[in-house]
Amino acid sequence: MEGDQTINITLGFLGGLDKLVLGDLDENQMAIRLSSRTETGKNVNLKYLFKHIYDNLLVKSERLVPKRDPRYDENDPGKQLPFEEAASVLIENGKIRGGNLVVINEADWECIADDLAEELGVEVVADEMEISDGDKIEFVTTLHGG
Amino acid sequence: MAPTSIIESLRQQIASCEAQLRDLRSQLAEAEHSQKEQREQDRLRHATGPSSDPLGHDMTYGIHDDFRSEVFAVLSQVEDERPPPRRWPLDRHEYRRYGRQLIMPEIGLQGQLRLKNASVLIVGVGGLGCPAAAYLAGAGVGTLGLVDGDTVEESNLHRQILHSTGRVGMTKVDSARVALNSLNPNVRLVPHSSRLAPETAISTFQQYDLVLDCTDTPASRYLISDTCVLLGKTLVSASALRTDGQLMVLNNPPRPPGDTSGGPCYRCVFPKPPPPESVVSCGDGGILGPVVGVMGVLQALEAIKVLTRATQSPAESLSAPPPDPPSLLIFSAYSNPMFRSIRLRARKPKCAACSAQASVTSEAVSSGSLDYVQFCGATNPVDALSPSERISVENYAKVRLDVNPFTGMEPSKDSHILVDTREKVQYDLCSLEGSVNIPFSIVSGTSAARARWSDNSQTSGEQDWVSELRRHPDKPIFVVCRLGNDSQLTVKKMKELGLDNGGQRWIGDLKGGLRAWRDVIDKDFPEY
Ligand SMILES: [Zn+2]
Repeated sequence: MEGDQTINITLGFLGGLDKLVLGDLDENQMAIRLSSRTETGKNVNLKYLFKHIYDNLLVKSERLVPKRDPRYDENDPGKQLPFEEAASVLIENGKIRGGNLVVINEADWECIADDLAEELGVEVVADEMEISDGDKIEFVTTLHGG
Repeated sequence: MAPTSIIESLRQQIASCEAQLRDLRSQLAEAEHSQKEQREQDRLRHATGPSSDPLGHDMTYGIHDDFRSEVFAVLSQVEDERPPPRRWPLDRHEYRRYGRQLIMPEIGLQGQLRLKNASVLIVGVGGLGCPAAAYLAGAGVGTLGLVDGDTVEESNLHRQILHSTGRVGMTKVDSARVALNSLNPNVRLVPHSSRLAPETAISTFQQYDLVLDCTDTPASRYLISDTCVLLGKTLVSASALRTDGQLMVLNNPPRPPGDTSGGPCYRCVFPKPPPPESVVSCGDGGILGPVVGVMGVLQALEAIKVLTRATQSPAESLSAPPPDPPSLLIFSAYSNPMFRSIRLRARKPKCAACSAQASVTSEAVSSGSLDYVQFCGATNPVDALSPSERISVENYAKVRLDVNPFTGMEPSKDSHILVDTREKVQYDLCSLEGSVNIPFSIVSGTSAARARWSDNSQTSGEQDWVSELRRHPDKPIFVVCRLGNDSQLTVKKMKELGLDNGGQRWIGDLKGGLRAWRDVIDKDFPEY
């Protein structure tokens, strides 16, 4: 059945994200296999991938979470974000957080979205772009030291 | 080198410096003397008085002094106004100094003249700014502006190559001026000795052709980019941390907001700032000198490329090759290959700074109504514990050396447990005797929920450090880190894990961490 097919992609994490996502591994890349269709039968897209990474891959580092996050207040139940929700510097509420760049096959994803939009003559939302077998998808966090 | 030869070499250096000083003094005296003479002549030239009407002068004995000085003045003016046409476009010493780059087709005579006429602003004279400024001064850029509000610290010297041991405490701008002036006295150096602020950014940038962002905070990166877009300046932006670096040439070509043929700005690439808690400085994360050095040198290189390609006339601009397409260069010292280039997007159609719908205006920037610090968010100092969960370094010293202030007992080596939560590499540099190292990365990676659950099932799978601390349920635990932030979070975590036995065992942290320990108790404890 076509729906059972899988795709192989490579994920990369740069600029310090490797430590966050992959822990103490020497590699800054990992190969993963995804089902090519979502549960509802659509081709998998970047949004789907972000959720997959968030749910399955991110090392839960508390350094990045509580106390230092102004939205967190331990005395206010409404502001006690569940750990996962406050967790990562990379993904929040299914979206890539500020200061990070998504790089697909050596190009900024916005760049690919622009190219695609021009080609198709319609507006393209970057995180709805579909993923293909063999894609290399990398996440680059900005550095600020100098 | 043997100590005697060091002493000998120092003697020689001092003698040579003293000779130089004598020489400079005599040059100064000479210059002052000729200035005085010049003033005297000017005074004679302009002096007029009714008492000595020159027309009443008897010409039999020659021309009146005032006429003579007037004649001289006219003669010398002719010389001033029309200097003999220069035979060569550069000075003799310039051909010699820049010869190795002049003979390259990428530079050539025109390129060198462009560098000479160019002015470059370097914002931040640290790990990036020092090498960038050194290479631009060396290459003969006519004017270099230097912006920095900091002073030189010893911990800067492993990477900030313009500063020196003897200039620790001097402002970075002054220290850089000394170094750059001795490197190339032909470069005009313009000091801006305070931190870049929104109120001054536009007036500071206005007089320059090109800007280098060598700063170290997200807020300054947005401010610099916005200012460059508003003023139509190309920006060479770089950053570095630990073993990695990044480089972008932005607003290249520099076109007005709304012109889609201009290069993207910082906001196009990063419309939203990073979460503040994720921003790590070189002081906290560390930085390898050559890593930031590489990035600064690349900034100088990109600046030279932009400046020597710059065109003077519209006709020339048509024939000039277009600038490289926008890209992000990523340097990673421990990866193979070390360099990678990522293709970047063009200007973002809805960019807040460079699109037709831009909301960033000169007024908004300079009035301070765009709050860059707030935009990027500020981290608050950690304040996770109550006063009773914290101990001052003075009192902890008593615990170690005197009578325990809590129990009145004599000190004993194992009266308590001291946990140091710095990462192992830092712990190995220096630590307090008898402490145990439990790095914060391990503490924060320990899940309280899982530990509690496994507690029910006889601590199977519990992390070693937790079970180790459980084995001594009576000893109070003191937690220390570098500055006193991670230690608080660790105390909290330990209590979540139930290590305080429901409040029976005291767990707390050392206020101010090892920095306070060094400042107050043990001056010999290393500072790093
Ligand atoms: Zn922009």
